[in-house]
Amino acid sequence: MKLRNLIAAALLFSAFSPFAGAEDMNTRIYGYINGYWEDVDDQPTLTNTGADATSKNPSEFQVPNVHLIVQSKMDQFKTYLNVYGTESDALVVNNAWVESDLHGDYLKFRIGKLYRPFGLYNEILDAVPTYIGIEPPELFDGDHLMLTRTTNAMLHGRAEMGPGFLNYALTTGNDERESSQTPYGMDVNYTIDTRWKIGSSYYNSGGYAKSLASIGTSGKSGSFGAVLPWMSEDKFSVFGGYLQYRDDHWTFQVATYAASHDATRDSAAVTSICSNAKMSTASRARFGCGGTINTNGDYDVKTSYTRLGYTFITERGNLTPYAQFDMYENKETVLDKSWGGDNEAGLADDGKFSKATLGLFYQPTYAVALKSDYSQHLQKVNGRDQNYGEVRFSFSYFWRLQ
Amino acid sequence: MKNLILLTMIVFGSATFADYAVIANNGISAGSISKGDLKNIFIGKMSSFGGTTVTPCITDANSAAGQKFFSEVLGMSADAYQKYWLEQELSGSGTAPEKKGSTADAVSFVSSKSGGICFINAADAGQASGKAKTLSVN
Repeated sequence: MKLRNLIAAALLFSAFSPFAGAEDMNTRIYGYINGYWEDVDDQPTLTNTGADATSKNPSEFQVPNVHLIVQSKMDQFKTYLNVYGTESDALVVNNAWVESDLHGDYLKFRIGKLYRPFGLYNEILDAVPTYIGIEPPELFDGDHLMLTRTTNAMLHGRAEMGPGFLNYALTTGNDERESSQTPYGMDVNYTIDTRWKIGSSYYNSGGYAKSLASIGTSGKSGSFGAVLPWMSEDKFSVFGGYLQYRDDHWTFQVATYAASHDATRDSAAVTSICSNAKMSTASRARFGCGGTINTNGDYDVKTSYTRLGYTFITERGNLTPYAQFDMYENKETVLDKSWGGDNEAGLADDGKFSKATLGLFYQPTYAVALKSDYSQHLQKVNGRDQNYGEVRFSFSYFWRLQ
Repeated sequence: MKNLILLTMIVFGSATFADYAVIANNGISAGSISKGDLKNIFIGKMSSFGGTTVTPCITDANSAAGQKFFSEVLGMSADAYQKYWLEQELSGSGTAPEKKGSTADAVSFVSSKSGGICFINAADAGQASGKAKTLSVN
């Protein structure tokens, strides 16, 4: 049975499920306000000809971000709405979905706009007050997403097995499909109470996908997904695994992911980039700038991270020093963000950078989270090892109506 | 002086060893529950017990009975439990058990809510008599 047919059958089943035993509707409203400040050292960069340069970055505030979350449950039905707004943007609907139990905890069906289960962070990234660290893992960094964060339909559930639970999810949606392709994602993990979580995720574009952004003559427009905006088409998959241990004091996380892209570059878009974008000598050679444009855009992406924190429980709140190490490698991207690139991987000769972070997470109460951290970015630029630092501070206040 | 020491021992001793009792709606057919099932219900991993959809509630987590319930059954501090549920709620993965301010509120909730289940101070279990059943925990 095709995945789409399975989803359609599940939808029909949930629509015609008996509405027996209707009781009270349980609706809860939550929200939080968070803000962010960042100061990046003078950063190594490149000119349009690939020569070394330095970019000065003014410190940056991003306040306020207001998040509103509504969750409602009645019998076997559940709805979830997650919207947020910033000072400058219109209201954004991050998530809006409806869910129905098909077979108790074993099988549920969710439809709408939803975060796909994929590793440890995608579903909780908006829950800023709950995790150590400020920046998302590189897998879901907005400058170089390895897949779209949201999708449209999901079959999921859990089954008790041994000392824990096996949790499974199968997703599909519009994602970045070119036309009638069926992209699909999977995530399977095993949890033992609230301490251990070990799992694996897989995504396949189900055929050719196209970028949600485009390259014109003046740069990138549109939002980012996994497909780079200078690709005319891209068939790709992402696979990885993760492990987490958490108790009252310790948090330990490790994850690794890899993506494989079978892609074709659009020669007109690449010509525009070659003429206008800041890019490394390696990127120019890869694209065939100044000669015959190379339209073979096959490439791989690799990333991994480790996060470790220890919580001191004091009378004045919880204090958690933490350390993180992130690695990301993508030879295909270019330096210039305004042309759809990424100023981290795109800066490096080999498309590879690492980031070491030390930070402090303070929670005077569970509803307030103050985080501060410092990162060192390390990469090779024009044959030399270069590094620069970055300081961040984030605050959030959570509230709930019940 | 001896009496003062004895009184102190009784007061603090009883607080330290205060036990919890688990009360449930009379519609739940089982008379006992394992600590594992109880934990899974309170962390939202198990939504039905003995064929009945369960709805847990919690009482004062900082009371001696609450502390014993959290450490013995849930294996985590009340603070970690709140944080765990914050993550679940903000990600749409579930809703935290309702908090009840007193034993009377907990008994009222459990007696009126199909599948209601709550922990209370064992010394107050008499308040549930005739309104809800007390499950033995094994």
